[in-house]
Amino acid sequence: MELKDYNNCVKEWADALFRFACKCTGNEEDARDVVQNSFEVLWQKRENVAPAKAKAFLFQVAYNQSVDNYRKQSRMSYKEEIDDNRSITPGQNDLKRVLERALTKLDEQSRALVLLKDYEGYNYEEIGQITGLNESQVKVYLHRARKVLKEYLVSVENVI
Amino acid sequence: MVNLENYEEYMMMYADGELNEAETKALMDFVDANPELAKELEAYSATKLVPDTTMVYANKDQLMKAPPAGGRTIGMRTWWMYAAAAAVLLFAVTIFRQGGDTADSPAVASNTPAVQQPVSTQPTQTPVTDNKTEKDSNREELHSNPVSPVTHENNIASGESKVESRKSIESNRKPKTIIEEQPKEEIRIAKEEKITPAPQQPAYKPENEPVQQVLAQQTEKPNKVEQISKPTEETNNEQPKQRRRLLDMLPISRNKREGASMIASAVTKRVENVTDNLKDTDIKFKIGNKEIFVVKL
Repeated sequence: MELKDYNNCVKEWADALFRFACKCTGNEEDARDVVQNSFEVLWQKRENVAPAKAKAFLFQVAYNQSVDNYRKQSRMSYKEEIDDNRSITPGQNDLKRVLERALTKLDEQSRALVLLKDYEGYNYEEIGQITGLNESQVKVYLHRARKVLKEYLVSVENVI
Repeated sequence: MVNLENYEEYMMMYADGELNEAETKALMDFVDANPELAKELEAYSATKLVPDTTMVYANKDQLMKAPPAGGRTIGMRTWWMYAAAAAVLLFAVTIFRQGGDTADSPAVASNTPAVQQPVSTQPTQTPVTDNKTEKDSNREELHSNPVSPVTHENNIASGESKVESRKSIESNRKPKTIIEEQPKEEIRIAKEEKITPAPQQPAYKPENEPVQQVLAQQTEKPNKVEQISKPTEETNNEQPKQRRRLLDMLPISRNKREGASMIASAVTKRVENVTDNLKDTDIKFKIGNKEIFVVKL
């Protein structure tokens, strides 16, 4: 990977990586650190990473850092962070807000799996390569997360 | 395909977007057949998250890397290509230059007879032989006991393992310098380097023909040196040019010509002041930081 490829990766994936890190950590400042560290690691290993594999590489690094970051640090509750109004535009129905709140009910790994699936559109196999899980494990963990989200949505009155 | 035991899994896979067309149709048919499950399918479909594209990383420029100052960035793959091309080019130049140096050897051998001929028959053709004294009275010629090629060749053939060398002595405007050839006299050079074998300078013709001047070569071992000098009236400007032309004609490799020229110059300066018979005079001269002694045995 050359310099121009690296800079193209910044332009294409920095925002998506930031969103992923924000939802995983629940903290914007931590999310910026995750993004910066992820790109720094990519730069250090740019000779061994093909441009086509850069996105998966970035999310793999961000996943590892986000999950470790959430586990190591005792921070203010994720719930408070997730209630940032910036994430919900005015006029939007309650569904999205409830979903954001439901996301906080998941553990860090399940949350990351759902984000990788819904935000980035990775399939089970790709998610397994990013997270280090096998395809069956990804499917099981993801379905558990789906069930938790569904039951939370159903439990909230007037949402569904 | 879809039944009451696995419909939930199909619904989650549908929310994940992992069902193909046939599986999707099968699920829809099952839900149609079981309308109470429609709400559950709707709930699973609602769990699919949608990214907020308004969330962006501010100041992405800080993440980017700038190209190195003063030059363009070359990828590692390209760098290796350039390095390989440079190595091949350097190797080719080295081979070419070695072939050029070896090409001197045949020229050395082939030039040898040519050097002799002007001396013996047409000494005037050589730059040295063109020298003429201004005053005949001051000129002393080398006579009668010239070193014949045969003599010297015999010396060469005598089995001396030493490489023969030539030593040139150029006189300046003062024609006093005379160096007589004595076939029996040996002049040993203290400091020598190995040289390619070269035939001795042939005899000169007395009186009518100027004496041939040759340049000495450095040899590793003491060698019999034939000295021939001729009083000349050359100007100082002409001597270096003649010396260079003579150097070019002699079978001396290029890298040794400078050394031979230095020896010739040093000897010339030293012997020009010798008024006695040189054969009886011990002389020494310096070349750089080295001293060479010429003594009578």
